[in-house]
Amino acid sequence: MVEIIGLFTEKISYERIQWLFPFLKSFFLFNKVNKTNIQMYLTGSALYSLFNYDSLLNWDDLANEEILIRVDQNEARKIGFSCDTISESLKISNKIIWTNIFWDDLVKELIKEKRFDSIGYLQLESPYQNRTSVYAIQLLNAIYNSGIRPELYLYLDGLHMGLKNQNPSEFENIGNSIETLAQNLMSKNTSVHFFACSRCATSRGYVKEIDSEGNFKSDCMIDPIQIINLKKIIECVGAVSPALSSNCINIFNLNNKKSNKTNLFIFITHFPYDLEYTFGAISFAIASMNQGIRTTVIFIEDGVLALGSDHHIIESDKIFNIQDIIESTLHEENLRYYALEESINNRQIKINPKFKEISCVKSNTIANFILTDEDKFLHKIIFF
Amino acid sequence: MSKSEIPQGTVDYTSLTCTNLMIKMKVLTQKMETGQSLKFLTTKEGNSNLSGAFNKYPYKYESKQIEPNLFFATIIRV
Repeated sequence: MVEIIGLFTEKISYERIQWLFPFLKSFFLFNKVNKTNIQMYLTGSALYSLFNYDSLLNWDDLANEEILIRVDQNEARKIGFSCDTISESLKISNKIIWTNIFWDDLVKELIKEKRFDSIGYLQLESPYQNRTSVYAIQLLNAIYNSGIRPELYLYLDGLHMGLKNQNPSEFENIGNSIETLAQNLMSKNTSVHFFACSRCATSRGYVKEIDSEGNFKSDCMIDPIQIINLKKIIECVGAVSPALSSNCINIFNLNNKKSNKTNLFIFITHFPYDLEYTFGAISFAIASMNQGIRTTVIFIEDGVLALGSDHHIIESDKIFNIQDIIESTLHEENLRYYALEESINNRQIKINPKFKEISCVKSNTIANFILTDEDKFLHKIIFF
Repeated sequence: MSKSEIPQGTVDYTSLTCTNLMIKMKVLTQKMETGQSLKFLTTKEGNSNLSGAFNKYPYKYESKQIEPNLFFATIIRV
């Protein structure tokens, strides 16, 4: 049996629905021998896709399959949505479960009929400006309450969740919440695996010094968080346990529970340079590949723009040329690059000839990659 | 090897963290011609990571320790 658990907190755009739903449906089409079970967990801005007319038609079509949608009732309440807002005439209305214990439900399903020592969460966004930091705390507490060790990995602007002396007047104090959780773990003699990427910490001014042993010292990061090399974070993300992020999909091959193998898929969805997502994603992929984890990078939506035209970066620009990085890592053993055909067609771009080896694939092909890789227990998809 | 023996003009990459260093080396070596070499300073961890990645065809990796956390490294395109 294939079990797919997707978590979405950001807007599920119409374009995303156009490739994501066929991707999910492919698991039913290609996997007729074994059962497929899909659960989608929606909170935050992802909820809006359930109330947009064009999207609803697609959701209704997806509802023909074995899919369950869990809606965060607490977040829906905040934006004025309720089960009354969805017409009962739609098939989708029968597939939606409104839950006010959203994160507990997610964790319960992740661990059902499986054994994990830990569940990790990769945070990419800063607190206060982004509500994903609140979701991170809620999820980590739900993991803790389930009796499993929660792990937190801070990457890119996620680092700022660990800044000392946070003092919001109206919002939940994220730093305090992390410290409280760490204290709870320590009181139960459970090790605290709250990690921050050293590259991201250094660039954001958190690293005061590096001692002779190579340890990173900070006087502005809260105590429970260790600043470590990205390699260590990758080891955790690549382990045989779920790794979540604000938008992610974990796919379990329950016929293969004894396997200790996992795959990592990184979906790059942002423009190449205005935000750090693309560089962060590729760095993550390269670090993952170096750890021997089979890593697949797929350029999707605006992410495909990294492959079009010819980027000219000069030294004084002080940024890495994304295309140079891709080109120099095209032939690595554990790293594959693809581009989503639907996204390229939507943007009418021509792929730079130096990327002729990067195949354009449809979303159902990506599903096939996963289904035909039968010796893996867990495939993790992280959206950047 | 001592610090005084470091050739003039050797680039110091000790401030680059692990993955950034790997990316930098991948990009620089991609553009190297056969016989060309890249000489630089790196940390103990950088040396460990790069030796694993670049000690195979078409590259050769050599390094000399200067201090516990300082290495003089060379990548040659063979």
